[in-house]
Order: sequence, then C-alpha cells, then structure tokens
Amino acid sequence: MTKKHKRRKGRVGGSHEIATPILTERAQEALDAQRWRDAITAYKELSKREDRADWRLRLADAYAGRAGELTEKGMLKEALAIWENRAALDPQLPLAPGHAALLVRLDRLDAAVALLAEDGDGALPREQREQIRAQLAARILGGDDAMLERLPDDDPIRRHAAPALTALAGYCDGDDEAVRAALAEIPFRSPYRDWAQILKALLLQPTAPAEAKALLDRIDDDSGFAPLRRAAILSLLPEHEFLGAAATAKPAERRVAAVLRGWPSERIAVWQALHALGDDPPPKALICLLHQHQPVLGADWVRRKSLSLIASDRSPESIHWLRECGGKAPNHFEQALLTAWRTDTNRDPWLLLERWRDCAAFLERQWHQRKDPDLALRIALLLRHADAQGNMLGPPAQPSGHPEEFDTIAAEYLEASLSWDPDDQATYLRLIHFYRRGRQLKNARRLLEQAQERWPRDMGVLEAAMDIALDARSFKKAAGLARRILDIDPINSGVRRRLVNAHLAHARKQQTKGRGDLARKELAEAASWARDTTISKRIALMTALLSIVDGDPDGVRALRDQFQGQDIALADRLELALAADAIGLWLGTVDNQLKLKKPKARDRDDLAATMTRLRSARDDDLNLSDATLRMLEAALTSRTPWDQLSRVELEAACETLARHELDRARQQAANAGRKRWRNEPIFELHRFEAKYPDGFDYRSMKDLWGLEAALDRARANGEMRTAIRIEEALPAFGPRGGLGGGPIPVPSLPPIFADDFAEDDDEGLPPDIVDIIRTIGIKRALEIFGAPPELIRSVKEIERMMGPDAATDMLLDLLGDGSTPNPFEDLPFPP
Amino acid sequence: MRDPYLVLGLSTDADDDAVERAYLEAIKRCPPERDATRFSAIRTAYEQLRTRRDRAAFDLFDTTPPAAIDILDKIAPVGAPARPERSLLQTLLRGEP
Repeated sequence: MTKKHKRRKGRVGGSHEIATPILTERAQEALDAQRWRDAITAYKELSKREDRADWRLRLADAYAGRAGELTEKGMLKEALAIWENRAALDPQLPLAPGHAALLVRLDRLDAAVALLAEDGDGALPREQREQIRAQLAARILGGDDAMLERLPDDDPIRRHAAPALTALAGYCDGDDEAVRAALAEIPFRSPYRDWAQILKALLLQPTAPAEAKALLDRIDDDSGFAPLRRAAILSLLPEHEFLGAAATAKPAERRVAAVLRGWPSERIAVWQALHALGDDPPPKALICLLHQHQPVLGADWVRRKSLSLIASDRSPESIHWLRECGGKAPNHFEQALLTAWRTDTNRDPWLLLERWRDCAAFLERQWHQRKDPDLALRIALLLRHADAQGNMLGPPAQPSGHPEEFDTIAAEYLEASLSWDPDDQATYLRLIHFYRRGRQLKNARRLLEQAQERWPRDMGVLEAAMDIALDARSFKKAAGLARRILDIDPINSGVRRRLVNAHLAHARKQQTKGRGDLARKELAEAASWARDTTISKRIALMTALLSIVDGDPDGVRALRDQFQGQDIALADRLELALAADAIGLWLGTVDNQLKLKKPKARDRDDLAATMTRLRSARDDDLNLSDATLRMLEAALTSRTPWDQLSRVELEAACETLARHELDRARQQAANAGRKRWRNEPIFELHRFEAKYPDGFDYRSMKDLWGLEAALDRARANGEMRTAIRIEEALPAFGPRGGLGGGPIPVPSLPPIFADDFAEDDDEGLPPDIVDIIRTIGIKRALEIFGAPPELIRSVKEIERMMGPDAATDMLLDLLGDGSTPNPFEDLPFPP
Repeated sequence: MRDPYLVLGLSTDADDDAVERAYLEAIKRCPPERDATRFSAIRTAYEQLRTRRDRAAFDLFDTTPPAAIDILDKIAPVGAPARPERSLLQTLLRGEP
C-alpha cells in the first residue's frame, strides 16, 4: 500500500470497519466541510452496504465538489473523470453545468453539441439546457464558430450568433454604434444574453463605473461568460485594490483587466516582475529590479529610492547592495545620510545632533566650491532636522543656560541655519518662544527684530512681539501690538485674553505695592480690552474692591449693600472671592470690612451655579487663594444640598472639586452620589480619592475592597474610563496590585461587600485591648493571647510590607468593624 | 505613503507654480466626494511638495521605500482605458487561463 493510499484511508479512519450510523455521520460532516475526497470514500462505502437514493445523491454532490476543486487547480482531465463517475451513478441524474462547461473547455464540443441536438424532446431541464448553450455561445465567440453547422437551424445559439459576433467586432474596433445596434438584435432569452450585458457594461465602464458594476453583478458565476465578467469587475477596482486582486486572478483575466484599465504593456510586465518577488519583496531584490529598469525609471530616482531601501534594512551588508545590483557604492555624503536616517528613531539628542551635523558639514564643504542656493537651503534643513526630530526646543523645553548642553547646541544649529536660509519664519518663531520660556528676552528680541524686518505685518511675528512685550511688562507696547493684531484679525480672542490677563496681573502687582491708583489704571485698561461679560463684571468688582484698600467709605458702603444680606448666593460670594484673589486682597479683610456672614449654598441652583463658576475658574487657570479655598470647603460641607443635583451635575461637581483639591466637599458630594446611585463606581472612586488625598494609608480595608468591587462593576458595565481611573487609584501594593505576588493573606477576611458600606464610623474595640495592642505591638499581643500561627504569620507579612503602625491600624480597623472574627474574643483578659 | 511627485504627476524639478497647478488639476479630477482616499493622498502629496523648502526636505529626509504602485507609475503611468484585442478577448471567452 502506498503512503498516499495509506493517508487517504486514514482520513476516514478505515471506513469499512465503522458502524453504518457513525459512518453516515462522518460522511455528512465531510460533505459539509467540503472535504470532498473523504465524503466520496465514505458515501461509496455506505452505498456498497445499502443502495439508498439519498446516499447516491450525496455521493453525486461530493463528486461535483471534487471535480470543481480539480478544475480550479487546472487538473481538467482528472476533473472530467470525476464528472463521469458522477454521471455513471445514475442515468437519470441531470448533467451538471460544471460538467457541461468542462466538456466545452476540453474541446469536447461534440459531446456538448450532441447533448443539445439529441434533446429534441426537451428531456434536459430548461435551466441546464440554457447553461450548456451559454457555454457553447461563449466558445463560438471565442473562435469555435465551426460548430454552428452542427446545431439545428432553429437553435438560438445559431440564430443569434451573427449579431453577437458583429457586436464583438464592433467593440474591438471601437465602433460603439455598431455594438449597440448588434446588441439590440439579441433577445433577452438568448444564450448570448450575458455577453450582451457584459458588452453594455464595458461601454459604460469609462463614464459610469457604478452602473457597469451593477450590470456585471447580474451575471452568474457559472455562466459561460464568467471569465470575461471577472476580468471586467477586476478592471473596475481602485488601483491599490487591483494590485492585490490581480495577483490571484487568472493570467488572461488579468491581461484583459489591465488593458481595460489603461495599463500599458510595460506596466504589466513590471507588475509581473514585482509580483514574482512576493507580497513583501526583500529590499535588495527591489533595488536590483529598480536597477534593471533604470533607463526608464531615471538614474536619480533609482538611486534615491535604493538609498531608502537600504535605510529600511539594518543589516551591515545592506550598504553593499547598490554595488551588487549594478550601481555605484554610496558616496561619503550618502553614507552620512544613511547613518543619520538610521539615527532618526534614536532618542539620544546628542547622536541626532552629531549625525545631522555631519551631513551638513559635507554640504558646507561643497558650498565652498559651488555657491548653489539649493545647497544652502539643504544645509539649513540638515542643521534644523535634529531639533525637529527630537523636539529639543519645542514646548515645554527651556534654555538650560549651559553652553555644553544639547539644547544650547541645538539652538546654535538653528540660529546657524538662518544664515543659510534666512526666510524660514517657523525657525525664528521656534527660537523666540524657546528663549522666552527661559526668560532669555535679549536673545528672543534679537531674533524678533530679524523676523520683524522680514515680516512686519505677519500675525505670528506680531503675536511673538506682543508676548515678549508682556514678558517684559511693557504693557503699553503690548497694547499697541495687540491693536495692530486686532486690526488685522478682529476676532483674535487669544490676543485679547492675553492682554487682559496681563493688565490684571499688573493691577495685582500694583495693589500689593500699595499703588491703588496705578492698579485702578491697569483695571481700566483691562476693562477696555475685555469683551467677555464675566470678565468685565469681575474687573468691575475688582475695581470696587480697591475702595477697601483705599479706605474709601462710600465705596465700602456700596459694596456692603451689594453683598451684605441674609441670603447672598454662594456663587456671588465665590465671584467676590475670585475678584479679591485677582487683586491680591486677603478674603478675611473683605469679609471683615463688608461684615459678611459665613456663606453657604442657599439652594440647588446656587450650588449648581457655584460649581459652574468654580469649573470655569479652573479652565481659566485662575489661582484660588488658600482663604478662598477654605471659605469654599466650609460652605460646601455645611448642609449642602448635594442630593438635589442630578447624577451628571453631581459627577461634574466631584470632578471640579477634585481639580481644586476640595477633598472634604468632594467626599460629601461623592457620598451623596453613593447613596442615591448605590452601585455607581464613579462615586466610589471620588469618595476613595477624596478620603485618601495623599494615597491609601490602610486606615480602612473596607474602603479598599469597596473600590475593588467598584472596579469589577465598572468593568462589567463597560465603563472602561472609570475602570482605568480606579485601577490607577488602587494602591500599588494593595490586594489587587500584588507587589511581589498575590494578595496579603489576612485570614478570615470577609468577602467583598460593596453595598453594605455605611459611613466610616468605626466601632472600636474595648479601649483596654487597643491600648495593650498599641503598647506591646500586635504581633506580641497575638502571641500572648495564643492567636493561631496562621494569623501571626499574616500579621508579620503585613508589618513587613506596610510598617508596624499601619498594620496595627489596619487590624484594629478590621476587628473593630465586627466583620472579622475577633481572635481576642474567647481569650482570658490579662490582669 | 506614496511618492508625492507621482501622485501629482510631477517631475522632481517642478517649481511652486507647477506643484500648485498639478494639485488644483488633481483635486478637480478627483474631488473628495468621488474618492476620499485618493483625495487625501493628493492633499498629503501637495503638503509634502508645496514649497521649495518642503521639496528639499522631502528629498533629504524621506526614507519611505518605493511602493509597487510608485514603481509602476514611474515606469508606465496608467493611460486612458483601452479595449482588448479581439484575440485576447477570445482567449478569455474560450476559458483559457
């Protein structure tokens, strides 16, 4: 028995030994999985055991599948043998279209023609007859028109052949009118129907590809004209898709599609050469192919692309590829360029600076021999590239001030590049802002002057000038520049805001120096620039507050009238505090002078407005003084109607409070959220973070477990953002974090019980026991009380990881909440 | 990433005006609503070649290996759709591979 035979037999597992029901099942499985050979073997064996019609039919299906498979592989004779086996199963079995197609394809036209000629009484099913006719029709158009003579005169293949052939000739000659006229003579129920559809599609292809595709889609895959249909569809694909699809198409279909797309023959030839190199051709093979076609591709292009291909490979041999493929070895500059390209992915700034400087140096030497402006531009670009690649001078980089630091060198290279290419505005601005960030205003001004000479009305340069003026506290100059910018771009809100902020900052400075008069002047300037209502109101309030500084009784009285009352909104008090902070006035002074009571949120709307105001203060980068934060913390933790906010408002409030580090208020807000929406992980997170602003200190393991349960819920709900935030909030060496392994083994710990968490009130152990534990240490106490060794080991582990104090607190906490069995409970109390 | 010169159908010595013209013609031929991917490629190519400085930078720093489509376009760009010869069509109609 040959190996092949053995293997085949193995697939069905020696079918003659298998019980019929099992073999039936396996045969069906093989048929369903399109394992045709296995299915044939199994059904043949079954048919030997019992002559059943259903098994015969399934065997016929398996034969058809296998024949199709062989046809696909080009094993046509073998496929025909299988079809013949199928036909021999049952004389009543209709001829399969694939069988007929294969007969036609194998030039056994007589057999196919005979089928039709002998079918005078219409024994063949109509559909099958039409399919055979279409196969023959395609062959007639393919040049086998001699067979027409062997068909009856009234056969549609014969009757419609003339217009179909005329249409073919017209199409190939470019005579569209003749094509249309000929197609009009082909009736719908003709063997040439698919041919007519394809020709109509081909005529539409250049102008209406979508309509052409729709026509082609109407043609069946087993039509005699399917190869032409496939070629036409291929020709309609976008170029990048075509390159992939063409690789799997049959050569004739590919050639027809390529011509239809307008591919010249050279393109087809090179595509075939590229295709032969595989899906991911090796760089060296591509370089050789480029060199083979160098006369057409151009020497420069081939050279440049070959260098890119060399750079894409890290092997040291790649440098020799050019020579090995028939080119010249890389020259010194090209070698330097290759080295620099390979450095581009390196994060070492020194290496970047050095490699690109080397390239620039090569060109600088050439410059001395040939004063070419293009060369100068390239030198400038090479000097700039290290900075661009490593973002050495971009924000937030600042000048180190050290002459041997890489940022200083990078800045020098950039400045040097301006002598080669002085028209690059981006480089001026990059250097100006780099120097500004380091308060090196002299350097920034020097470059600004050069830029202003070249682009006096450019917005970017004007804005840089304004920024430098603001940095130097030259507000008058900045205002003048701002006016020029706003003349050009009246809706430039950024410039307006920067100017207002600069005046406000200056007003604060003047006030703290005791120059209220100058502060008022600055505020008036700021007010003249401000367009935002909120800012304008705050400037007015700041101006009014200056009356407290000036000791102006009328002004103070007016303010008092405005703010003194039983029911002043917390949002208004916050606005007052922000104004006081903005001019550097202590909030206590304001409260005393205006005789203001302790504020609180008077209702839900006031609370919501306060939160909105607080949020925008953070967005505007306003710095709240400690006094303002204390005022807010007190106001927001005193019977605050958190429970009246909606879920979205409450979550936003928690975020805002977090940004201002108002942790007590945030904890209250989060607790309100936990009570109303018991399983919302986000409120659990806010409560945890607010309770442990400096990180979890193991005060209460319940909190940790509660957060872990919230993490599980967040994941289960698909709240991935919240889940990630909780993961970040969980302590690194907590039970989840597992520093050095799994959870800390605390015996008898309760399961996670998220919903049972009440407030944080600890029900303590008897004070005597707590005192003893704290005095002698929990480990010793456990030993004295004869606690189980398992517990003592766990406590030692916890002490090792967290320190003795935290471990003691944690265990007391666990014991105190009653959820862990108290190991001291049954022990004799020491005297 | 495709070679921007080939996307815009330009020679490597094209100047600013030629780039601008080629870009405008290309987007007229292929507006975004017709083929967004192709339009995006045209736009990217234009950004890479817009100024003399851009072109010099592309020449110095681009290390993208040539795509198959670049090589094909450089050798023989796609022309106007043509009609296959009768013999080629007949090969296909006879079902020959």
